[in-house]
Amino acid sequence: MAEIRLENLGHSYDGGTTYALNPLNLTWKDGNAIALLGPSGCGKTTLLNIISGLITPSSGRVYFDGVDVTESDTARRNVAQVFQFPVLYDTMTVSQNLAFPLKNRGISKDEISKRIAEVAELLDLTKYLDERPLRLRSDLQQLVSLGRGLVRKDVPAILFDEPLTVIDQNFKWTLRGRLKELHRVTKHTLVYVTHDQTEALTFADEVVVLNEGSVVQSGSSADLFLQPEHEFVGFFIGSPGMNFLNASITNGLVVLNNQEIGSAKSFGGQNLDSGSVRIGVRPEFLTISNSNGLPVQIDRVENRGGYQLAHFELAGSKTIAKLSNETKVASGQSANLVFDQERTYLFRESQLCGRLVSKVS
Amino acid sequence: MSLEVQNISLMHNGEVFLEDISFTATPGITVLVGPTLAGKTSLMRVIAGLVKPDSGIIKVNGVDVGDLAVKDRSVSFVYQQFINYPSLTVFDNIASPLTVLKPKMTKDEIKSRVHEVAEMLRITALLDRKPSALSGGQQQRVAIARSLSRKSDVVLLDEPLANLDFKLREQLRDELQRIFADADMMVIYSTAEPIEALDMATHTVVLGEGRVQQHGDALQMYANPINLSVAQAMSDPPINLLNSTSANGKVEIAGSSHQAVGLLVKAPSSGVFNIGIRPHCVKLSSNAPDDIPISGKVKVSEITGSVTYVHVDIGDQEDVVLELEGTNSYQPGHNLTVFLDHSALFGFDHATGETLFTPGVVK
Amino acid sequence: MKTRNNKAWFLVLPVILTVSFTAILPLMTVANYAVQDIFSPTDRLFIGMDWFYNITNDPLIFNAFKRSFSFSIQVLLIQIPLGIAIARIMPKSGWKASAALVMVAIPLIIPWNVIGTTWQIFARPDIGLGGYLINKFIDFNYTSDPLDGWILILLVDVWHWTPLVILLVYAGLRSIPPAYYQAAAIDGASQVAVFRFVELPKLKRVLMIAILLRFMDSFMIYTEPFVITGGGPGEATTFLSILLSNIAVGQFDIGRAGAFSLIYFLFIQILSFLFFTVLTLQERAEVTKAK
Repeated sequence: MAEIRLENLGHSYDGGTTYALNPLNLTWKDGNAIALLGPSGCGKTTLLNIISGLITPSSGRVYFDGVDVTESDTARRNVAQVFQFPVLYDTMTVSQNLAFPLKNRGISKDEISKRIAEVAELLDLTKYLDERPLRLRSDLQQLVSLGRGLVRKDVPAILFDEPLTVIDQNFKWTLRGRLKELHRVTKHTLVYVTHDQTEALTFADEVVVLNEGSVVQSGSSADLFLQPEHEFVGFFIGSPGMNFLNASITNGLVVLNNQEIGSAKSFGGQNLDSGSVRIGVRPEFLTISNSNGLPVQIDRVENRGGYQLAHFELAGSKTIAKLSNETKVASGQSANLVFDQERTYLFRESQLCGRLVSKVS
Repeated sequence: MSLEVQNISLMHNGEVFLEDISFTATPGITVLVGPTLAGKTSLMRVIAGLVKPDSGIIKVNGVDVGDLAVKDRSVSFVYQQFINYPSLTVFDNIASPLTVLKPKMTKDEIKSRVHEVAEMLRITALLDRKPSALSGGQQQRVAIARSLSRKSDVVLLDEPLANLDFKLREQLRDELQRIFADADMMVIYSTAEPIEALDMATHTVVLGEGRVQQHGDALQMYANPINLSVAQAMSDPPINLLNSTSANGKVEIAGSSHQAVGLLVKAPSSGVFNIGIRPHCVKLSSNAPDDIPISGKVKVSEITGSVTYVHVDIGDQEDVVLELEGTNSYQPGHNLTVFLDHSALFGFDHATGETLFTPGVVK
Repeated sequence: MKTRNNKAWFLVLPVILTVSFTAILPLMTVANYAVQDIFSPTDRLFIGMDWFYNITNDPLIFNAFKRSFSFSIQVLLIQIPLGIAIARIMPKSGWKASAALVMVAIPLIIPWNVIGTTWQIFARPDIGLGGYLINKFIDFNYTSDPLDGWILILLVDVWHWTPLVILLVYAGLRSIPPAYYQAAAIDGASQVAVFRFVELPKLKRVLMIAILLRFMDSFMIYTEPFVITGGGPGEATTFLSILLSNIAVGQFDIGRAGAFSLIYFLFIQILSFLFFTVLTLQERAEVTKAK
């Protein structure tokens, strides 16, 4: 268990021509669950492998509890890591696989069998303990892989590289819940890499959103969802992602489709009296009403069971509203769109600059 | 045009992979939904002709294709892994199925066809590149373009989005729906995610343990699953299951007894059964007297920003999961009473999993 | 029920014909010789299975068999571990890897009799560089000392064929996903443990093939001892193949040589079959598990 601090940490695979990871500074509190979220190629796995010591960074330092471990190899850092696909020792049984990291560190037999029993229980592997992993289905193999990561107690951090990729849809939910509970009990520092926002958001205390080798925003799930500081975060988090609409500001009033929809309130002291602006609003914060609002023509309504998605075009952009099943809405109908002003944000050059407030009349 | 799958069975090493599978696909998207090992891939391989079934018939446009070799069937296949010819450019990859067609297409015809599909999948700018220079999403676009180029009667897509990033999946799902809506072909699309059936399907077939569990309209099956395995296949997040016992007009759920009102009157008058309820239908407060209160302790709350999933330990059975709007943080161990929406309950036979009752409407 | 198309068998016909001419007919000829005592092309006598009794009781042949067998075992004991060791320390990527691969492959592309001649001269104590240098330290004369002759042939075979093992193992090692090494590092596995639990299991198939090839090839070794020692000194390097050619070509005892070849051939067939069965059985076991 340790605090992890990254100082000017950057990495280039080609000797400095391009950076897979641009120099960054981050500190993760001891005992936190951290998710590194981003699309493939964003540098999240590189970052994880630097922390575990599988990659030596081109620049910057890595500290565990204030101790510089940049030059230490993986074994010396003593971290645990779980990979995307099952990585198992073919000639060992499931229980020998689980025992291996403990045995290598000279832990007593009794302690080993105690821990194996605990982890097997947690992962529902008890009845497979004497099997060879090759005989198991791939999702069970991945559980064994996961178990090898969880079996150690003295680790500064446990690192996960998209560990649930091969796990069955339904079981993913159960397993994630169990991992989270395990984290609550053991208080390990967990670092979890994923492209799946649901996984990242539900699992982590702190989500670090990465894009093209840089940290775009880092914060709690609620922060990222409710107030994205960058258009990318708005787009990448939430399903469907945030709607972005081109608008303009005149005399402090936001004009969309030739209609004033509210006043602009600046966040960072930026002047929002005039000029163009992008409105960002999540589908969850759009509703439709029969009386007042911005008139739109609904193209298509998708019912997803628990909720419906209304698709329409607004100011030249494809826009989606997420509506409850109770809302009466049909394809082809006209409707009036209402913005939840507190959750309607303004962006300039992809950066958050303000939000909508009621018109001061 | 039609694809008829009739009584297909497949065994291997004494293990049943497919059992008496029958359904008919018409132009449009037929989505095969089911968990891993449900038989989706095996079925697609049978339709493509890569595996001979032990019994049953595959008919395309009324003609039995059982004796036709794979290459003579009008079938394209897109795999979960992005499979393209590594030494060919994207253009040549897409053109490859066209060059073996008879009668021979002219160079110009091939070129215009390749550009047409490339346009559809938005990869025109990549035509001169080699697959290795593309991202995963782009590679899968190329594979899909290749499957579309020769206008096969049947296009099989085996979990084509499974290896893509979450966001890319969302995007491609949207596009595929648009592309296939206009194409006059039978698209068979397999997935483990019910959302893909709800989003894309003109017809949905739920597979489980090598059998067709139910087929029809996706939303219809979401609301009226014929058995528990269909309800599970059509629920994400997973549907909650509560062991219940009914006797003398009362139903016992998780240690407390309730009057059998609302949908519960349809439960068997005595004996064990399972109540199913989707996480978003479990509430924190009740405004209907028939809603069923259940007490438990919070185990975990998972906050996504838009919703919160709260796992509640209700004793010696599976946890109940709630999906609540917004951010609701509960400390683990917190005592909580939750309410099962009486109008959103499913009942399943404890032994067979067969549906006893459903809400009847989309909930 | 599907009807099978029997016409497919006709397609196999050309292969059957070709194999008949290249393998089956010559083999039948040999089998024919094996049951006759041949004094000259016109003077021959049918003697049934006599040659076979004779050969199985012939100490000359039995000794050659022992020699060949122990030579093959020694070849395996040296080449397999040496091949693995070298493959493990070879560079894994970049120009160094390519250079190393080319260097390693060189012995494999030199004509066999050239190798024999080269070593024959190289190891001579009087005019050979190697022989001259080594004689500064110890007495080494492969033309007179049986042990030296044996060692030299063994050395040549190691030089010639270890590269094959290296290439096979190298390819096997390269196909192990890096995640396995990473996982082992994270589990705190020692170098020995990595070899024992990651590399060896993953190399199992490749090694079986390497062992099969090296055993068979070395069991049939001919060119090197023929060129370098001619089977000597004494009979030190008279392996089965050398003895066979001596009987057939040297003594023109064609009937005896025929029977000898058949037994030799049969022995190799049986060994190959055993290896093959073990390999496929293992694979089948793995397939049924992995499904």
